[in-house]
Amino acid sequence: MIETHDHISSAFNNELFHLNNTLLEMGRTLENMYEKSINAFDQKNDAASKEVISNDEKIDDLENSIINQIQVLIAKRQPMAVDLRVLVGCTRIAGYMERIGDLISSVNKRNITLIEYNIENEKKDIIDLFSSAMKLFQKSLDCFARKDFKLAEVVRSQDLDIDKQYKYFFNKLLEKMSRQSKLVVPGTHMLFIAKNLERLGDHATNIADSISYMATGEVKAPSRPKISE
Amino acid sequence: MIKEQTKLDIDNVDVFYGKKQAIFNVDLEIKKNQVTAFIGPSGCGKSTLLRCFNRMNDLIDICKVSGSILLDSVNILDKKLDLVRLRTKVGMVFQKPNPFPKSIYDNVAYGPKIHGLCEDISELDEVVEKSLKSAGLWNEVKDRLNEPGTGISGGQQQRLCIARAIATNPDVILMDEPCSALDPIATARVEELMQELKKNYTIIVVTHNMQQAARVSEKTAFFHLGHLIEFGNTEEIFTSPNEIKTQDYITGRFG
Repeated sequence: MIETHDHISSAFNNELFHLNNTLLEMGRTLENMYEKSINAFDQKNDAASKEVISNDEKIDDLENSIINQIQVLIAKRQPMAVDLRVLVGCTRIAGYMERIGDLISSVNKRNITLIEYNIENEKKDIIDLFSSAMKLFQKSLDCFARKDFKLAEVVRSQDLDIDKQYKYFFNKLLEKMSRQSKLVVPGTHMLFIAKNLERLGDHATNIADSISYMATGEVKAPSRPKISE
Repeated sequence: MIKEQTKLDIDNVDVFYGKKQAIFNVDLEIKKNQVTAFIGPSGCGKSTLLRCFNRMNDLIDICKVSGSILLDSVNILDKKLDLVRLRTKVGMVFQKPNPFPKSIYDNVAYGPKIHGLCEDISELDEVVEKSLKSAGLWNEVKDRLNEPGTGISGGQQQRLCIARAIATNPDVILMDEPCSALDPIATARVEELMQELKKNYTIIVVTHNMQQAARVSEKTAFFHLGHLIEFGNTEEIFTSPNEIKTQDYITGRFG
């Protein structure tokens, strides 16, 4: 656990509390966008996808607010030790979340294009990827909300499962596409959706790793298990 | 990498003011040509320990120091030690700039004169110029060496005190809160000077300014209630200290 509310300066505690809340709001907004994305994909709903895409602006605004808050905190409080690591960690987490917002937008753009194609045979695999990445992302948000770095290990191990799931889908679809030329266009969009969801899992892991860093000061080796495509 | 040489080897030092123990069994090695920062809340013993290094505590009747402090393998706690000589080897700069009520020139020339370190006036002139140059003050005062040392700005006065400390060619310079009475510009000049001076001297600085300790020192020692809690590389102390007490102090969680 990382305590940030026990400084002598109550104003400092309040500033950190506000920063934490802004990050939580960013997480909740993304979670909401993500849930809508699954339904939009499942129901071929382009209006819902457009709404999600327009929400990405809010994510960018929240990221800017977080960076501004951190900038002022560093200038005013000149943080040390765990406080310094928390601010560096939050800077990184805000960046990862912003990237997740971009990935969700990108998935929805592809969804809008896919609406005119028949993708019934691939749908289930993609929905499965969606829900695996969702679970991982929620777990990383949980890890942040509770500042529980032990959960980070769980997130890391689950990311490996998504990688496997992605690789399986990638090979399966590629093989199909090589046989059915009418699958090339929708298949390519689906490959990108799958790739984006896999990347989303990576960023969820990065968020969890940032929590570990805040707690321990150790930066996780980038050589976390990866499987090649 | 150059091997770090020990300048001051502090072993099992206890300090008492009457019955009250102010320092408990401190072991510490101060490395040559480095800046070592002592940090800790008021009353933690950091200044008391600093004052052991030039035996300033001898001036306080009820103060008793035990253990050993080796300066280049000579125990400076030895009763028979020549204190005057020790204090030429271990200079000190205080919180408030305290130039003598004499001219700028005489402030710097005072030490070499009373210790008979110079043969004649021209040698003394040289020492004064060299010391003022080392303290980064020469250009600002070279045309007014006969004006009173108390007539220059606070930051200049502090650098004058540093020039005075290095005029006797010491090995170690002790600084007790050297910048707490200075504005940020004068502080930056003194910090810059410390980086310059450590090439030739070993510096120990007591400071309440955590950022200053983080900026100027290679090693940091954190004291609490007379105990040395943590000693290590400054970078580690300020990014991820080992002891929870250190972290609580440097992040403003107790004091």
